[in-house]
Amino acid sequence: MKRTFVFLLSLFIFFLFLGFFFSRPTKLESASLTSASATLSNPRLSFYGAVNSGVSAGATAVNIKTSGNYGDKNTNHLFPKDTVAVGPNGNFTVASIVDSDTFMVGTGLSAPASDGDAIYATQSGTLTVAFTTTNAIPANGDVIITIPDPATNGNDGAPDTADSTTNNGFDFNSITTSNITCPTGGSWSVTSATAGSGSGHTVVCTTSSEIAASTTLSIGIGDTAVGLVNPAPIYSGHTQGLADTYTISVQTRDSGDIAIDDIEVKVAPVEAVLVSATVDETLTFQVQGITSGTAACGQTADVTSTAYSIPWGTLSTADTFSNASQKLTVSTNADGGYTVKIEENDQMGKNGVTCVGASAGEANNCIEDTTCSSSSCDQATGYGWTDATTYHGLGYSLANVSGSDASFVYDSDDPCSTSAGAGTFCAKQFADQEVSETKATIMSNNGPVSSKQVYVCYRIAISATQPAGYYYNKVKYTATATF
Amino acid sequence: MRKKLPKKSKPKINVFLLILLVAALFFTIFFIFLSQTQAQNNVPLTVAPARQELLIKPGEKSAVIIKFLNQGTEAVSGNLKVTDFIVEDNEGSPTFLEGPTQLAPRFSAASWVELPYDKITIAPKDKVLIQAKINAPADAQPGGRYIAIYFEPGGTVSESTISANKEAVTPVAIRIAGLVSIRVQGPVEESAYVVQMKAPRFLEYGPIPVKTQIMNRGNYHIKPKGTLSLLSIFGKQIDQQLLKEQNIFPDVARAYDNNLGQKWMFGKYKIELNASYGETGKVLTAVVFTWVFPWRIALIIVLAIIIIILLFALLFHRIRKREEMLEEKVEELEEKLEEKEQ
Repeated sequence: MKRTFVFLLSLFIFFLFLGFFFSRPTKLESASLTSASATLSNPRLSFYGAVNSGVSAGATAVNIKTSGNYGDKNTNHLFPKDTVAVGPNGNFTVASIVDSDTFMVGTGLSAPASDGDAIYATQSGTLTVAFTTTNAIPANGDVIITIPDPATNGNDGAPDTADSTTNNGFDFNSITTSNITCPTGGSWSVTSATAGSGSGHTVVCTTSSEIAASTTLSIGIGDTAVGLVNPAPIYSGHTQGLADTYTISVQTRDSGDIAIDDIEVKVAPVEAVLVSATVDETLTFQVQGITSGTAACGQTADVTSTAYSIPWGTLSTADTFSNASQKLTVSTNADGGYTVKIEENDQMGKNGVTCVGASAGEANNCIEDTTCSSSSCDQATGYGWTDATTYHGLGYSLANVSGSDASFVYDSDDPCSTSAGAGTFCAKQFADQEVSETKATIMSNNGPVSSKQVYVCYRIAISATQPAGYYYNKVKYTATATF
Repeated sequence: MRKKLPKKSKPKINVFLLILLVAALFFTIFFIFLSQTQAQNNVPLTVAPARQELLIKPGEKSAVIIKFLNQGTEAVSGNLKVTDFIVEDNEGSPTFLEGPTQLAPRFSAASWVELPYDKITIAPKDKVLIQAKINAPADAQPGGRYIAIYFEPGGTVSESTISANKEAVTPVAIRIAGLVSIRVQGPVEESAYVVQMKAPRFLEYGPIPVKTQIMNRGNYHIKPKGTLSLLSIFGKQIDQQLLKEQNIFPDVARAYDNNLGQKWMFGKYKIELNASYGETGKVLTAVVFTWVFPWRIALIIVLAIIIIILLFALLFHRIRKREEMLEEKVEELEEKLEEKEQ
């Protein structure tokens, strides 16, 4: 009897212990997720200041308070083209920053703003949380992400500020499950996207099939339609340029919401840096000499030119063309483009004698500007010049090397144009400044260009009766931006 | 006590020194020659800023900064000058006013400018920064003044040099200029109008080429901002383009070229210019109408429809005829059957 009693007591104690054990199992110690990261597509802190002394409707200058419990107490973190809300006026664009406590909006405010009204420049984007599971997530398990939030107004789309990062956080901006991207692979679905009120916004993604251990998962919160609004700087103890750090909690759970793995990751939104530089409007003009034997404008150069001269040498053969060329290169960032003009001081005169008039010829000891053909070319209108026996003188043609900036081309049909045709040397006269002829544009473009190149091809021919002597004139290129 | 050098080593040293001297001489001459050749063969110059504006009060002294850069590998020397410029064409290309007969006092300011140097030399890969002082006379009239500050290397071959060479030559001068638009403070005349807005009256296909010219009749340059809109006959906006923002010199018209719409268009279209200019936001408007009708395609479609209708009519006619024939045959057979039964 006694033995039986002892046996039964022992059995009772054993089952009591067993029942207690199974009814209150010891919680497993959850492991840590690995390779976890939280990435903000826009890590810039939002701007949160306040109107100082009020702003009238129609005004464009806004002063901000330089003291008080505001995230921003200067304009250092407000940039031109930021979108701001000034009190009741939403969606205004910052035109310029006047000084440390004043900025201008592009158009006058539509309604007055009172002293102390909030000034917001919201920065929002997507938060992407990535991690690798340590233990498997069973079917119907989930991942819960908790994002720090402010105690109040954490879902109104406006950035928030507080005295510390503990009390501050992201604004959920009315994000719904449709703005959440759960991991791909498996059978994931968004269970909830809940705005918090001081204890954190939560996002839950649930899987209907088991996710193996060591699986890399990624969850996106917010999308291009609706983004998570970054907090403004905390108003106490924040140093501009140093990030405010917020902790985001990630936890995997089983179907009974028992934690499996978890980890805390940090995000650190910070003020952006306005990078600005002034780029001068520049114009670069290069003149290059061309060696003899080089082909340009369909001709082979007979003499080697330099940047500063066309040394014809001794023109001993009458009724024969001598050819030379130079290469011009232009680059500019001027939005109006550029022009290069050409002129000559006079026709070529013997020992520099003045060749009076536009067609002073042999009788005046001058090598006249060519008339090209029976059509009579001048500085404005060009024609093919192929007959060295009948048509003597000095002239030029053009060929595009890079781009199409030449004002005419050597192989165009008569009269010279920018379109290639059957011509072989469509030529013009140089604009003679002795008779104030209009300087001719030889290269131009109405926009910014990079390394546009043109050959300027000089041609000269004399008759057998050209008086012997030394002839010269001066040709001048002028490069300017278009006005 | 002095050590005597061995007699055999002396000639060797002399030969070595001679070779060294000859080599040094050769390289010196070579590099001098090389540098001269390169300096003449390639002259790349940059001016910055290529355009700039300055506001000045009558009687005030001010200055503009302009940089000339030598991108080449050899030093470049030349003249530094200032001249007035105007714009004569509708493309905005500046014309320098250099001769005494070309003075335009209305827009002239070259005489107000004092350059620090007449001649400069720019070292290779270096720049020279010029501060041009501008002294506006106390009686200067409000409005625009336009000057160009330019650097002119080369082209300085003297007549004596050319004669000494005894060969024909065409010296080439290069000028690169920065344009300065000076505005004398005070009320300026702002007056502009659309001289021309032209589009073809009829086009087979779009887009519609629109040529516009705006004339500035004020005494300061303007930069109109606006749009060209293409509207359908029902007033629906088909296309809109920004008017290119470009300066218009006083007393000159500036040309604008736009292409509006797509290739496939149909009907009557309205092209509307709405632009503003000046400090007071004066308005420029113009309207032009055009027709776009792809008549060849339309003709082909109409002909195709006619052919299809005719084919259908023919087919219908044949079917009808066949039906009639069949009906006749049936009637005949019925008659024959009736006859047999009787």
